[in-house]
Amino acid sequence: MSERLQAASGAGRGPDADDVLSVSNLSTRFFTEEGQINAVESVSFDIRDNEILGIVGESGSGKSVTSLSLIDLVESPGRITEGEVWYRSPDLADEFRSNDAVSVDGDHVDLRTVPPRVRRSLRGPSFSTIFQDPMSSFNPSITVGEQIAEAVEVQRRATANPRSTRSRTQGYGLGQYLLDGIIPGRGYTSEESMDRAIELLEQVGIPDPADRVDEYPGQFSGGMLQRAMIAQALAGEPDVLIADEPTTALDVTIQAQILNLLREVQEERGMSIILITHDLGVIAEMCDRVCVMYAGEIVERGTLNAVFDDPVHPYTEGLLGSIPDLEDPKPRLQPIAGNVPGLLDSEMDDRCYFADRCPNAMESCLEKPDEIVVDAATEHGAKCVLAERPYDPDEALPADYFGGDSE
Amino acid sequence: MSDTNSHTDATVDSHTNADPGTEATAAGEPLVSVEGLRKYYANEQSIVDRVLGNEPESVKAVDGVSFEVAEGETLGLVGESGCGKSTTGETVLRLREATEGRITFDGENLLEMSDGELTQFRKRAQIVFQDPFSSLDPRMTAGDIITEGLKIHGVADQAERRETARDLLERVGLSADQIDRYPHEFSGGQRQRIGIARALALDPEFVVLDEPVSALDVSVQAQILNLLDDLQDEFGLTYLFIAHNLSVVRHICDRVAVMYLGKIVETGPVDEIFADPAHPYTKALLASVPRVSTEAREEDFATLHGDVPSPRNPPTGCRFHTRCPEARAACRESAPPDYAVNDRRRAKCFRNDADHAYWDSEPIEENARTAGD
Amino acid sequence: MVSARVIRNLKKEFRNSALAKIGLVLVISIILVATFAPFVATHDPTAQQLDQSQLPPVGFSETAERTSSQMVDGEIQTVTETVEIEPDPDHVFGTDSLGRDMFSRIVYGARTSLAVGVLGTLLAAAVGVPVGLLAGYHRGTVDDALMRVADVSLAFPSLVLAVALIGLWGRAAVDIPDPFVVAGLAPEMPESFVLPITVVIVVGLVNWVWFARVARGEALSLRGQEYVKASRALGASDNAIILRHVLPNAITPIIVLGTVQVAAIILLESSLSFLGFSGTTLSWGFDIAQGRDYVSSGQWWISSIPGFAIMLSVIGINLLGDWLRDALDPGIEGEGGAA
Repeated sequence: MSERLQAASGAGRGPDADDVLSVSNLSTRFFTEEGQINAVESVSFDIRDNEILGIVGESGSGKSVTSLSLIDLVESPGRITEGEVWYRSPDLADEFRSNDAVSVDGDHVDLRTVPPRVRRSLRGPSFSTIFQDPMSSFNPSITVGEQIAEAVEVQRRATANPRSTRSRTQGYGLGQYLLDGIIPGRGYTSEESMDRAIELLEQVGIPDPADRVDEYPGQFSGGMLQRAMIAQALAGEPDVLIADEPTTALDVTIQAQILNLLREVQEERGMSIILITHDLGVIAEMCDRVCVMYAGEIVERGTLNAVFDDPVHPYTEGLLGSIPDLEDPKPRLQPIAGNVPGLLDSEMDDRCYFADRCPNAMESCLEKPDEIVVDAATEHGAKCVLAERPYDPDEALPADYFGGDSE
Repeated sequence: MSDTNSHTDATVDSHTNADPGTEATAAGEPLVSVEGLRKYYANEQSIVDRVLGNEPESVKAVDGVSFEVAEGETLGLVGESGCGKSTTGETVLRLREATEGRITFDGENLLEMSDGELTQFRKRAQIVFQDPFSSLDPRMTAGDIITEGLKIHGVADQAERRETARDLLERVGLSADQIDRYPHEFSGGQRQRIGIARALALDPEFVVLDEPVSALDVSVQAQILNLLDDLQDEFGLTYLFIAHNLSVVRHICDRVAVMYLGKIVETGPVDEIFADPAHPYTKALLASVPRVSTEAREEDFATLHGDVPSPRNPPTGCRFHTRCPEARAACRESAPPDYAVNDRRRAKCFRNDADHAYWDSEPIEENARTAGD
Repeated sequence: MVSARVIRNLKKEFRNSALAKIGLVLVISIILVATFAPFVATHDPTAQQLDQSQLPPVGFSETAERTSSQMVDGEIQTVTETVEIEPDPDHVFGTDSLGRDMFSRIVYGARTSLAVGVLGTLLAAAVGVPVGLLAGYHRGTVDDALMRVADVSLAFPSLVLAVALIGLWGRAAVDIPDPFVVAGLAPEMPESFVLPITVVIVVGLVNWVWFARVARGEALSLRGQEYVKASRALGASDNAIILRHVLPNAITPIIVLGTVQVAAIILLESSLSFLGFSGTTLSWGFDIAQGRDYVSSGQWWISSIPGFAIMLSVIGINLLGDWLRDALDPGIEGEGGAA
């Protein structure tokens, strides 16, 4: 287990056998007119079989860019500048083992080194994503059923021709497109995939799925559309489901429905879910292990109990202290002072990024901390000197060290 | 409908006559009192409809809402999106015109005020909005934004107004030097502080807080909640706190009113309601909130099934009966009146009447229930 | 109202865009030429020199057939000879059929175009913006009525409408004394500048609908902004809100529309002059019209040069409008999401 944590923090490594996905030193930067933005900075973590991994952070912490980086959907001016994304796929590993350009380690393949076409073909059958806003994730002018059936079709082609990953997405060519355009009444999808779409809609709890497949996204409520998006994501029978703030746009009673659904789906299919959210409550209810992100870095990680019950990093502590408790209204919240930092490279000093808001900032915080193992048994690690030694008031930074009142 | 009104009258009585030792009255006499408030929206009509004389379809955003806010207390108005809570808040300040009902502020009927009286009222009642980006005019400096009210009412001269703005900036946790900055130079939390300073500039007694923290990150949200708490003590403010986040309501409110589809289904002191909800909707809301505690893990949420029905065409009888786990045939037939749970609490559910025919009627089949819940 | 950020954006966009630079240079040149026309012009643009008519621009020579009667061997014969007409360096752009200096006419024509363009746009904005803001802010009957009027006017070709109005009102013009000439600085130039006032009014009234539509759209979206609600909660009157919050935030698209409208009105004025509906004879459109008959006989410059002037000024103003749009728009709207 201690190797595990070492591995996770990125020191000399190879993915473990039960890692579906293992991310190592992933950095994503945006090259904007204002300058370079370090959205994701040397992030490492792994997702194992049959688990829900939570990534929690505030706006601008880099959690969503991390998920986009996994599926190679970072858009210009953003670019993944560094890192490895090891995906477990014996088929791919065999296919590329003799290829020098592609890194293969046992059954794992580094997706950063495979050709882009292969990476693209994995979206759907290997990784699926659910986004925050279901309304903008569906095309409003195509029926919900057809959009799900399309995803089914992609999966069909993938399973019909499992060896050649590269041909997966190429079944639908220009000729077919023209044919579909000329022959009216024939959608892009077959009868069978439409039946499968109905089945999927039923599985995600949409009443009267046979009627609702023919409805347009505008006729669905937000909660129903989020269910439909989950159905679409499940169509590819993915190994990893990436849920990026899946319930943020929903009301609390609907959120509970969707969270239950996600949990069920995960158990039934034994897949792995990466759950990205700002809501610590959602994390606490859903996840096995947690990564806390701040300013593009994972600052604390471990099992849910380790991180939530014994947080080491003052940021995690601050987050937990900021939330009013439903059962016990404390007279006063203990918020974190100051604001979430911008991630402009030129404005980021080489120090602990949280030091300017940290109530326990010490002189040693002016050096960038490495991830330190807190407790190997719970895979608990933190990027904070406090993991090694207690706070020493003698070393405290003066209150106005970072320009005083940051408010 | 008259039936609802008679019961809301009872609410008023029960509060004013309540035992002085109870929480609800400890804070003082009601500053704001709302009775039978309705706000219907007519749909946009096309010219063809108008020529043909088609009746406009109306949305009953707020449909017979009654509550009061005692001086110095914080009343939470909580509910899911589309339940009419924000419309209620804006109607109470006459930012929207009520379709029907009565709103009294400090004994005066707000809906019958003349323009002059309304201007005076505006000094005494203010609002803070949810969105820190759209709530500040991007072309005005922080100082101009904060002093806008003073300028409108001709309070103080230029120099004094500026001084007030500097004081207020400091008071809400910003620096007085930031007075000439534009909104885009501030973060979301800082903008919300400016919005609060603007609301306080006229030294109001009553502030409607319309989801003031829901657009903010948790760490910043906590800062703002603490600030609102402090300001209430310092300025002796009365709050109407509109929110969908129950934990936040629990933290900041004295009493709470739970809204569902344009109606208040339950009111009472926040501790009592959260400890033992008397309406199945309140119960379901509370059960749906993910707890930030490692103990709750792996327990399934006791969720409601289905979606909130459209306010265009609300269900008959009790509006919650389509989703209610306790619904029986009686709930479909008539709307439950506002039962007194005790002298501080009211709930619109037949289950609070031990003798009601509800108990003998058939449970409603859950055929509309969605799979998976 | 113009914050430091706006200026910063303007500068940034300007630096990044070669087209913006071209636009600005063109527009500034036209403004300078129009303002200091008496000093730029080399001749009185209205002075006719029939003996120097139809001279080609410098750099071009023109062959013309000249027929003359000659006494050859005691008989009078009609002789047709081909004569080479050399350009006169005194008339860089040549002369027109009446021997007026084309260069000076272009210079003075810029005054007309610019004056009508700017004044017409201001008039259109002065009518359209308040109507649009009020309609969009208050909605209801005013709004409905306005939109119907707008639909009708937009469906009607503006040139036809303008011609009809001028036909109705006549071609009034105002003589504005030229200060430079009055002060004796440029004595040989015309003493006054003729502003075709009817044209200004007509183009303004034809184009106000554009401003009304844009202003209405902006007001419609701005009235829902929370700061407008906040201002009402503070007790501000509707008119105060429109002035303080709605207009300043709607001004960017209005300015951009304004630049486009200046160009459009310059074209419209030229069309009107071309058709003979202007109140002045010093206009690019007028020159195109009078040069039209000579194009077939080889005197292309009489209508081409003013045509070229119109093209340059319209391009310049549109480039300037693009620059303003790029620089002003994202500054306000793009800020929110990025942070």
